[in-house]
Amino acid sequence: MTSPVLHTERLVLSAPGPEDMDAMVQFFSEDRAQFYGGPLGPGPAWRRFSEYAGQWAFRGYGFFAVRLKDGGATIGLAGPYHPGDFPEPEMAWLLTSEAYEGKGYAREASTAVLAHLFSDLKWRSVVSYIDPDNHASRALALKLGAEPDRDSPPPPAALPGVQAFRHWPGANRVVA
Amino acid sequence: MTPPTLTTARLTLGPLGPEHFDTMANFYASDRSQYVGGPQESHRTWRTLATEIGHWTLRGYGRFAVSESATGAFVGVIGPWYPEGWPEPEIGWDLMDGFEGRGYATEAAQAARNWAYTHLGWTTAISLVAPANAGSAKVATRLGAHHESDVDHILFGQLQIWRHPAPAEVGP
Amino acid sequence: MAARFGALVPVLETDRLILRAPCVEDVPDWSAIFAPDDDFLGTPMDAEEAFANFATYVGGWMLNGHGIWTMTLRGDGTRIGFTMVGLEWGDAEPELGWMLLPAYRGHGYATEAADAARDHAFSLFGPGETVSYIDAGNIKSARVAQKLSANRDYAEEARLGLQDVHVWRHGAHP
Repeated sequence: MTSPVLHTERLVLSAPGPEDMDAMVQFFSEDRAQFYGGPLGPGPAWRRFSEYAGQWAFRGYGFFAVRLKDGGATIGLAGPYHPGDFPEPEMAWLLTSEAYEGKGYAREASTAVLAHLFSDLKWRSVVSYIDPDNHASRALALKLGAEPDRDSPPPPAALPGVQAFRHWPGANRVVA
Repeated sequence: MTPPTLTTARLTLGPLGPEHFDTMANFYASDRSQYVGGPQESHRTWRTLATEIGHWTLRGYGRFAVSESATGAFVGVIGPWYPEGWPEPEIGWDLMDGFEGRGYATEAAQAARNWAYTHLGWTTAISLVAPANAGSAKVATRLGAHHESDVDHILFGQLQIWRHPAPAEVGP
Repeated sequence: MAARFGALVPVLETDRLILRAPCVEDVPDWSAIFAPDDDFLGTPMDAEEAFANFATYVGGWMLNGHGIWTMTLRGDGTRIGFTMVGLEWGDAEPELGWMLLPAYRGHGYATEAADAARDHAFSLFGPGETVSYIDAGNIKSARVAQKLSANRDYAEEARLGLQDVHVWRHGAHP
């Protein structure tokens, strides 16, 4: 299947591929990956990323690999993560290295993905599960216009203690 | 990479997809999956299937969904793959429940090995067999492989490494 | 060890071709392309030089994360040529290259394979970072470069001081 390709001012987002693998294995090897089930060794990291790539065939949507327009480096993932044990898709994002933090990349990528989910796929809302200790993700969820949602279906057992934030179409302003 | 369609006398090898999930979940819920990490709950099998599909995206090759050409029944997951952490690229076969004893694993694995040798340029191949899995050892033997050594597998514990004959030693 | 490295190279597919990892069995066909008495327009090499050149591109996978694929026909896996995203000693940028065995030229295979390899290069470096160095007299390769929508980079040619080699750039230079 051909996945959509999203463009922002500095980024290109498309379905994950082999060229993203090195950055993902590196990401999972670090403590930064703790909110994503890491750190993981190369074997488990490879299989986890393979699962992300394979989700597209299952659901018709999944994580986009986020690459810089200038130079092509893979800097993160952004998109609806929806494995079999999740009650609904989760809008999730990650940057593969600390070097990419603080530049607005996660917000730029997530804004583009949310616009795609709401305008192209006609989703009515989408949840993000935020760990209370993940201050950066919580701050971004709020900047994206998400609100705490106590009425969400219970989060998956795989993510104990997370708080559900819900994104709505009206709240997400696309930043050109 | 879109998996090619391969055909043998009785079987068709093609892409794995969501339509195979239910049968795979049944397999992985049963004791027959004990040699490949089971039994496990269906949501873990979801991830397993997604990982197998993703392997094609990441490597450009992978294991096939094998079906009976006559009935369309899904009989197994068989083919060449190399997940990170495997000791070597492997021809692996998992037969779904109820399709043992018909020679399907041998027939499909032979076609898959052929494809790996001619189309992927593989110059050798192994298969990983759990020591207690006599059925799998029989398949490996029929394919002309021999038990070469052992390995402590990253996921499945102690496994036997069976070495397949080289491309020049097998027929078309 | 060889089997493991080979299986790490991503396999690409096109309508008629599979681009797969190189293996030692491919060396004679590579050498045949560069044999001095062939009509291939490039630098002829003897078997030893050809092998060293092949090994440079194969080693690229391990050193740089990109390198050479062997081109095969989808139906029966027949080897017909090679395509690469290479980086030889002294190269300023990654190079997109293609070469076919004589019997398989003239069918559009080079364009088809190089198109897939170029897309792979774009996902590694972004557009505009990959070039092809083509002899001034090699009209056939120049035509392939044109079909791939590459453009002559005259500034780079001047910078490199090349006499009879043209630089074709793939994708817009940033």
